[in-house]
Amino acid sequence: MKLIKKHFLLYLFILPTLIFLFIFHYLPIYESKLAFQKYRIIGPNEWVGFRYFNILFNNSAFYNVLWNTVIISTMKIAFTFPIPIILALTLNEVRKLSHRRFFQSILYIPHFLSWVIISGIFISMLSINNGAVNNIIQLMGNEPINFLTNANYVRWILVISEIWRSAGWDSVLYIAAIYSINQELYDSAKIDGASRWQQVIFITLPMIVPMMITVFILNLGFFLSAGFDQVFNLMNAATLSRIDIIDTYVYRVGLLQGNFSLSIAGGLFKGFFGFILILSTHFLAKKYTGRGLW
Amino acid sequence: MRNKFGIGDLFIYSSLFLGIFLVIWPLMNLLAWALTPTKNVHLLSGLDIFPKGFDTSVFELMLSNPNVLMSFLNSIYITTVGLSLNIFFTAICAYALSKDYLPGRNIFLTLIIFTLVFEPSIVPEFLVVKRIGLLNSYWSIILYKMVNVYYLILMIRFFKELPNAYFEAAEIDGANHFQTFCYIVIPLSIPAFMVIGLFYIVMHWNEYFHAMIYLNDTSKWPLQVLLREFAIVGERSALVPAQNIIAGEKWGDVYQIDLRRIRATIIFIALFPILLLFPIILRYFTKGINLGGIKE
Repeated sequence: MKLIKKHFLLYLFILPTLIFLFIFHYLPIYESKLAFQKYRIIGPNEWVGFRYFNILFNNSAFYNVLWNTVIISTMKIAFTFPIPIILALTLNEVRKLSHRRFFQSILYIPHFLSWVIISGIFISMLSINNGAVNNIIQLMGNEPINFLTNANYVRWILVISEIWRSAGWDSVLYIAAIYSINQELYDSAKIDGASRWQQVIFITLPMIVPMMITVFILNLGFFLSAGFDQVFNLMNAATLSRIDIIDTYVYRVGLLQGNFSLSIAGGLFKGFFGFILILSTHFLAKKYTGRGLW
Repeated sequence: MRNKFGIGDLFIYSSLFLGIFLVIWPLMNLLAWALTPTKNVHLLSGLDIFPKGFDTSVFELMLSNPNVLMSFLNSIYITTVGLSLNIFFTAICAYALSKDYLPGRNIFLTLIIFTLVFEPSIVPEFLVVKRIGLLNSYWSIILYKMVNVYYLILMIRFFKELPNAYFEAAEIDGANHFQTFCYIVIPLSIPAFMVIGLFYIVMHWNEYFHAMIYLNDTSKWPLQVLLREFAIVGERSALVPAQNIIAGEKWGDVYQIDLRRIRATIIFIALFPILLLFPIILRYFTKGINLGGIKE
């Protein structure tokens, strides 16, 4: 009690953040009870149990959304994961510090741009009318392709724009891991006559494996969020069925169609499995690599 | 011993140049579209990185457009007010939570970290904002991200690494926590504040989704929402009232011809402040690595 009195000011410091979290995180969680109720504009809502979850699970649209989320997340993890590693290894081979800084700074830029801007850029580049990619295709004598409305390409556009945005920034973690490698390892390798390439393969790469495992596991934790902002800005009526993910579905059903209860049911589904996934991947990463999400 | 520039280096440099080329090229192409005079637009392709001629009329047109101007000011207002609150509340909370001896600290930390692990979906968030009467107010988008939990954790870690001797000395001198915070923590943490402040600025500047949902009044829109409506949704009346487009006023003529130039220009206007900040981000960045989760 005395201790609490002594540190009264510290509690006062924490209080605003707790109030903020209470209002903007805990109240919405409480408000999610609407998934078990029928929403009425006037009068009390009626409890309906799991009705909206039944509707959700009997709806083929939801399975499509679920499948899209799984496939897009898998594609993203599979194809975006190696790029920052390769980039970090390459950057590390630039001997001159000023050159390395130059490359790094430019590669970081896209990370700080919003998905609205990045989508604008990609829409312009992929445009059928004088877009950069179609210009190249035409130079090679082929017919232009309307990428943005072509359902076959749209998932790849998500993967590529994700790489464009985050490859540079994500390499930071690996660069930091490479910095912390003991320099003596390289010195003794040089004495043994190891080539530069051999040093990368037998020293640098094995030494950053723990970081790779951490990043990989933690990425898995966010498997169910396949990138709302990106999909939201790059989708259109022609590609909706291929890239509609849980988050965009929840948004559309809830705020555009006004079906609050069904939307929250979908949100809770994602929230619940996301909770399990994030928590277990965090502890897994913590246990095996000593570093988790927090 | 100095290494010679060999085949390996050539390969490394060329792949990195390819990388930065892929980053810069789309941005340069946008700028080329924005700056090429309308009469030369037919010469321009998606591959060009330099404008064919030089004409800033679309930039002038955009920057004098009341809707663009208004939304630009909105973005600046939201970012400034948001940033001040962010830094202040994140810092004091992180300071308190960096004290291991604080009774109940773990309970608070658990409550805070839980919000990272379990996220409510958009509809209940919307309902809460509506219930507390923040709908259609700037405060809705400022307050809903008053404290970012990841940045809070970064700052707790940073404060924990400050040498304990300072705090012991302050305690001996009879300083209370507020004084310690003002006279010891703040001066020692300027780099950390800079890095986290810059992240918060980017976060506010790039906000569009919640602004779109919470602000019905289009005159309150930040730039990103306007940009989205115009360049992505293709809603032309986001910039000019619909009747002006139909009536084809002077403005409207330019408008019909230069749709793509206008789109490129407005993307560039939204992107420019970030590019301005970028050197500062980089400058504080090395310090930022140390306070990132990278150091054990």
